[in-house]
Amino acid sequence: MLQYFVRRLLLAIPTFFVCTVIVFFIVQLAPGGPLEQQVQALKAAAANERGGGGGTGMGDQAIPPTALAELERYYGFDKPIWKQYLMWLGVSPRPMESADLPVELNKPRQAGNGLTVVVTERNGTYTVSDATSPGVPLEGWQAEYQRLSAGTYQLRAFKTEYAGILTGFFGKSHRYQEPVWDLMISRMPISLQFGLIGIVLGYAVSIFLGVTKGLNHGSRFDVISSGVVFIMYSIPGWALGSVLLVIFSTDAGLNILPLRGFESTDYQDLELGSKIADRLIHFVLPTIAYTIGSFATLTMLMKNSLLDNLGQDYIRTAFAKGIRESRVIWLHAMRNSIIPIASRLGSLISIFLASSYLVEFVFGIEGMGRLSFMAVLTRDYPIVFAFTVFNVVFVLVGAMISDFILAMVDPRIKFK
Amino acid sequence: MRPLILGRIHVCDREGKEKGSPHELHKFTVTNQALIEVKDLKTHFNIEGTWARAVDGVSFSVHAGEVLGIVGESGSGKSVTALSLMRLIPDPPGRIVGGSVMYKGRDLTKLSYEEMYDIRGKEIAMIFQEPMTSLNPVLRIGNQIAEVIMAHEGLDEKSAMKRSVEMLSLVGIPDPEKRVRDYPHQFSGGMRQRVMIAIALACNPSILIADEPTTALDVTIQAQILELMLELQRKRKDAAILLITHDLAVVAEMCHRVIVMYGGKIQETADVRTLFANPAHPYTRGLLNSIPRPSKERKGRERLQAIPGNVPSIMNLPTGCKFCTRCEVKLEKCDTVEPDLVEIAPGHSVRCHLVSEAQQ
Repeated sequence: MLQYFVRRLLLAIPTFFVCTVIVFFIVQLAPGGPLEQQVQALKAAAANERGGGGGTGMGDQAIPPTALAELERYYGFDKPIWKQYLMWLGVSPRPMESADLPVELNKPRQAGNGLTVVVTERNGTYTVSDATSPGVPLEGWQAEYQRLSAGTYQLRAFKTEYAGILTGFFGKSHRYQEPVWDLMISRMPISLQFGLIGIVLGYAVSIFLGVTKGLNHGSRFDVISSGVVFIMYSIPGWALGSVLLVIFSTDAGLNILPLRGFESTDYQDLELGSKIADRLIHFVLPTIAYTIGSFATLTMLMKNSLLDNLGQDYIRTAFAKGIRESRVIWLHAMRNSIIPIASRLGSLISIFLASSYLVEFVFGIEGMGRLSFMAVLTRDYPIVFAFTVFNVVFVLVGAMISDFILAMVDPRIKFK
Repeated sequence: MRPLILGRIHVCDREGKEKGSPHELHKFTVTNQALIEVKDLKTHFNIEGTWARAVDGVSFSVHAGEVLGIVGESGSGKSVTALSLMRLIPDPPGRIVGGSVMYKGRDLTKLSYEEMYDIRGKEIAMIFQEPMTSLNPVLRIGNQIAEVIMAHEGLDEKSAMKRSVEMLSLVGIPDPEKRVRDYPHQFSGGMRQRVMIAIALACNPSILIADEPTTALDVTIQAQILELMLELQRKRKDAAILLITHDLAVVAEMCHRVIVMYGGKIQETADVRTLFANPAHPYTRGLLNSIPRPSKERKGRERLQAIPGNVPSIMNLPTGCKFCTRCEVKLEKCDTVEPDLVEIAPGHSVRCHLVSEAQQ
């Protein structure tokens, strides 16, 4: 069994790379990347400055080619895409922005931190060295000519580093100019809160409801609760959220719950107790909207699974043995009924990313849903790729955890 | 909590009322002491508003030390009769609507669920047709045997497990110390039926009900399984076995007395020799004729005679004799008048107008 999971783990590695390669290339194929968006923004700004109708005839030439080249270099689009991928992975060195300085050949230049560098050329290769000992390559430094516009080149020296997902660096968001990791971590509490409450509530209610329905199959309670669960399933969370907001958070309604956000504006100044209370009241409506549809599937799965097992021959055997009904239900039937439920547990790992863009939008919460959705819209590649990485890892690991749990609860399943 | 839903049961039954007095069974056999006495048992199933009479006025008794066979085609009510004795009829849709099952001075049909827990598994044990699905797939074999011992004899888990090992070795499973830790899927069909027998015999019941115990097994295993069931009588001389089967060869081999059921009613009952030598009911004769008898003589190579037609639908049974739709010798009144079960010789009773008239 251990062997099996080791094999699964090894197999997950190529799967991971294939997934990231596909996403990396496909996303970049789409037009309207960050560069184009930046150019558009600059154009719009320029047009505004000219007072909207200067008529200088600059038109598309509003962006000087040198600036365009700088932008390309800034985003890293000046490199071939396979190189970009390797850099993103962290197996190919990427230039550090902080140490990107224009130099002239054989002229020492200050590079900060008391370091003076000089670039020398020998047989077409450029070497960056400390000015005190020219010719000796400086660790991690490179120099190359950058094409600025047709016929214009600039020699640059820059320090490189291995920084990619394999070293734990997810890049910097184009839009927020912050490390992606920090952006995600700052939204993690919201996801965890959504995810944990959603799961605890979802499983607790669904299992309890499913078992009760199963034992009272066909009763009035069973029929009514089925109806309620399916109505809840059919209502989109964001639509319910809007209605709830009108009822509970506006002057037209009760106005007892906050209208927007995840915490009050004065949250930082509150006592611990009030902090918790503040979070809680902010979370009531979004949580309802988020979890409303999550009961139906699990409840029905639980009920059908229990019913199915109660109709099995071994249940009749247990009764024929004189085993008490409670033991027959809770040991014999339940032990078998939870198998399909347990096999879904692996997916719980994705609570770290739990989110719903529309619910977050309705309630004005800055969560993972908004982060990832806006990242796709604005072509914020590092964020999109980071989400891809996490999703792929969670799916792969989740499936493995599921299989492991399944093997634990069902003796018939053996992995080889 | 409501009475539990058990498995779905194939219900086939008929209309028509039992007339006359409940039949008194003949006192042939090993002992005369009636261990369990079934009187006018009626188990009906509610199917979309109409009551299907799966078992309709069945009376018989099982005597200590005997093996009583119940034979009949699928849907004749024999399994429902057995499940009724155990009170294992799924309710809804099924219900015991009349009659009594007297066991040690108590009417089992009147006992509470609570009281039935002490009867099932301890006084009356049952093994089923489907060994492949009759054991809980996620519990160890040992635990499933120990469970019944712990429930009825109050042993702690350790000594119950020890008994499980003994039971496994009794039913001929090699290496029982190791096998108690296995799961059902690690056993073959025949082995699982042995485990079922081990569970059934664990508390030395006075009655073992076996509902087609060998139907799902290889022919080579069948004899071994039947032999194992007799193990109970070796351990306990007064124990009785109620063997439900459609295999007349098994009946001939195992039983002292036989009940032939059709349409939820007893059609003929006799000791096994009489039944095979002198079958009176046309249905019984049909059953016997449909057994292949290999023979070198010309006669033996004749075409096998099958009973024409099918068992009529449970919702649409004849008002008269239940067998009249397929009977080759039926009289006019068979369609409308249900014959009574009449004793034509000591211990031999038949429900047939033809036979009754010949008697008079």
